[in-house]
Amino acid sequence: MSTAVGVASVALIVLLAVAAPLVAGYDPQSGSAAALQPPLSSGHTLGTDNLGRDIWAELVFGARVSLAVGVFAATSAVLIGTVIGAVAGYTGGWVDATLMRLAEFFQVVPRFVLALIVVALFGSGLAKLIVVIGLLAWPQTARLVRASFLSLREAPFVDAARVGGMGPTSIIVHEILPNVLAPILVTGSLDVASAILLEAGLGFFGLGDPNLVSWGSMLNQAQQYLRQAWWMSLFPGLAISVAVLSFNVLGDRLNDALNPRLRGA
Amino acid sequence: MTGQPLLDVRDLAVAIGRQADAPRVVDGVSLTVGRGEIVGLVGESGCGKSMSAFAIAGLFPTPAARVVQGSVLLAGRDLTTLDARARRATLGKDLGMVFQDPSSFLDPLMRVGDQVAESLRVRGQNSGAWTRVVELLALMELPEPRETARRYPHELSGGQRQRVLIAAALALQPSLLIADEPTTALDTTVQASILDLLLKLRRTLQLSVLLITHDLGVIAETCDRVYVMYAGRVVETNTTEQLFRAPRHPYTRGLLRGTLAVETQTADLFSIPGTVPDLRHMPSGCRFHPRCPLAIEVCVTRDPPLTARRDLSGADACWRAQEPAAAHVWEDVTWSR
Amino acid sequence: MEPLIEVEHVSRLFRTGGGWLRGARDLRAVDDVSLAIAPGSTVALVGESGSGKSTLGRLLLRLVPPSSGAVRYRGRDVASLRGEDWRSFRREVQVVFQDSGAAFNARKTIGASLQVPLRYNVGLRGRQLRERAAALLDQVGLDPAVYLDRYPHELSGGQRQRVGVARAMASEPQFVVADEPVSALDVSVRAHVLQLLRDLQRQSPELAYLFITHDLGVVRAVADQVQVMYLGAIVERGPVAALFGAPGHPYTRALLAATPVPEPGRRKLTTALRGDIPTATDVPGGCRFHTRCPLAQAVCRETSPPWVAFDDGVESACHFATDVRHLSPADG
Repeated sequence: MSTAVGVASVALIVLLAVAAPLVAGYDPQSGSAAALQPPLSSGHTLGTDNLGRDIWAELVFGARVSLAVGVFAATSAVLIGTVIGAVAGYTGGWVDATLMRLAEFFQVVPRFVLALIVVALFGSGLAKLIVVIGLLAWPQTARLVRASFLSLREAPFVDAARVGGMGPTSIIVHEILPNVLAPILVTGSLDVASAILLEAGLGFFGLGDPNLVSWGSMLNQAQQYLRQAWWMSLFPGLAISVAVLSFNVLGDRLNDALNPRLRGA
Repeated sequence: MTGQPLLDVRDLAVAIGRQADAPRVVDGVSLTVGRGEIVGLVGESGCGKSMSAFAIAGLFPTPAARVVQGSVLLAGRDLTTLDARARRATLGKDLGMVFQDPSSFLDPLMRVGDQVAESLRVRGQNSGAWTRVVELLALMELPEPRETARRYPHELSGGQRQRVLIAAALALQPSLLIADEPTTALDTTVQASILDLLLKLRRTLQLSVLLITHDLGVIAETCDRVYVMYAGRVVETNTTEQLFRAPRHPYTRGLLRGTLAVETQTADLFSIPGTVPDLRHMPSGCRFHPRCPLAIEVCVTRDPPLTARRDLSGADACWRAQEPAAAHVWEDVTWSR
Repeated sequence: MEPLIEVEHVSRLFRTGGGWLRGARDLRAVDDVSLAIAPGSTVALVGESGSGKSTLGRLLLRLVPPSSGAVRYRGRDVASLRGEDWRSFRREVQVVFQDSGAAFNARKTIGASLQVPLRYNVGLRGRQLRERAAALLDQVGLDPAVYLDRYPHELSGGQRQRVGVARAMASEPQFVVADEPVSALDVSVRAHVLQLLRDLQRQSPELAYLFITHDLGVVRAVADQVQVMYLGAIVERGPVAALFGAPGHPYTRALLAATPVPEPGRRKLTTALRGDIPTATDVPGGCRFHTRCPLAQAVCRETSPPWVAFDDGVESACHFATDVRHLSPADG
């Protein structure tokens, strides 16, 4: 996927999600039409599902759930990861060791299984999903930020700031962090992609928010109709693939664009 | 130097970029290196000395750079007319090159002996390669060459790594070695031993060396002749002896006055006022005129060619170098801001 | 004279390795070093890479704490400074780094970088910050209107280094560590920066410098006193002219011999130092220089050499210092 296609499809997904009530044409929740109609039939471009709900309407409203989970979960992961990574990398010593063991714990435990357990125990709901995914995704950002801080904390310009009288908090926030923003943004957009995937996975197992249509829950229902209604699984599957791929491409290109060594010159 | 020089560079120009008016980093450089001669190319950063070396070797650090004019004759053969493949074949066989930072040219995961052997095997000299590698490392005065050949780059010191690279560059016995700031990244004592090695190789192998450096001390201790570059041009050339004894170009005079001696304390710290011109905005006429206290009308309008003078060795590119005033060019200039 | 800053038997160890496969080892970057710097003096600290000279500089700046020993500023242990005492130390003890591009935050303008010491060390606020930053630039010969809002990469190395000097001078320091301040600069720019540092000292005669450098020409140009460091320890010290004229330590002698002289035909001997500087994880016993010393005897391998003091102020840590000082420069 090229940069333009990646950026364009992210923009398109966002646009559709925002404008969902305008572009959906049908209510995604109520089955107003005949069930299991194939695509291009009777005003339902992508067909209807087993309850007679319009697939397209479900997709665009599902995009809202996916994006909300993706963006908010990634943001919280980035925030937690940045703080923990910065403290660990700048402080070093036992603080660093403790925080990194904690990060390893979260990385070693299979994320999906942990998410399943949490949702099974505490029930699901959009906000809970976001918190759970955010809590599971921070270690990557933390490790990255820590590595950058480790290498920058003894850079001459940081020493110069110390000798200039700056305290540790100001140094972390005003001197080192601006130099680490680029990689943080990149992992952030990759986090969006993996959060979307995780949400879809939970939805597929019926652990999504029961009150909302999501791509994952669409797939969950589609599995029983795999033979009769291929469209029920194909379109949400495609939507997930395209969204994940697009955010990955975006992250990748951000990485190139923000790398001063590849920029200009 | 008698007969035809080994390396004869004529009117070489290198531009960065494809456009017709692309800025020239090297602009009309001519120089020669005789057999068994060590020739220095000295100048400050951005003067085009390294780019000249890359152009001669046919290697460019950036793909945007290209030779736009001139010829590079090595043993009578013009290298600029060769196709890319023939050109690559000259590397190693006819000329070798070493650089400032030895670590970035060695594969960290490969034994150094294998890396030297690679430059032999490329040309199909497979049998006895290892014996030859050990011989080469011994020639470079590396301690315990047999054991050293089996080590990895990180197990060697900076000076030893540079010796390994010189061994690799000389593996196929080229007649010319181009050394681009080979000792700049090294400690003083290590630098001295590498320079000694170059002198020894010249003596024993009749090796010719083009030594690129910013350090006039290095030039004085190793080179037979020197070219001084400023803003893409050669502004003065002479035997080392004469250049230091009787510099003619105001830039050379300024550089020499700015060197810090170890033996005596310099009362005033001298440096040439102004800064090196930007590639894109080269001054008209003599490129040094904005910084030169001797500059007159003609210096602003006409570019002085590199000219040999009667009764004097070498050549200078200065309209006023022959006037008595030139000898006192920097006398009244003191540092001011 | 009462020393301004003093180092007393300071050592600094760094733990290296400590992985699964290799045990942790202690790297003795600085090993029992003592030295004193008087107000208004310029002391050069000379040594090759790995000699520990930069670590010693960082110890003086309290950027790293000593593993043992003490750094005293105006008679007080720097490690114990708190509150207002600590803040005045931070104001009075400053640093100029080598211009490697890394000395400035690439994301900050020159003006913003200059404001750091003005805000935190001097305590200026608001409009004063920009005004003082401009005045500092002007003091080092850079037009504030042009440079205040530029980014570091838009300046030449020499210009950046002048800003580096300006930054150090922001809090009117009494002592400045200059760590290889001109090594990355061209010959014609080097003198500007050195002269600038000299001029600033002339303006405030109490100002003392520690010049960390590997370039003996720079030492000669700026310093009164020189300390020669090898593998974490000072091996020789004294007034520059006396020491360079007749070094008493074979290492100093080798350094001097190896420094290229811009005079053709004056090529001195090359005292071939054997091998390279050992790593600071295994410092040789006895005299730490014996593995490379052309004059090493049995005693050098066994006993650490005592300091030998000479009438001209030179002190050498070599068993044969008296003999070495009488060697002519041409002897092998």
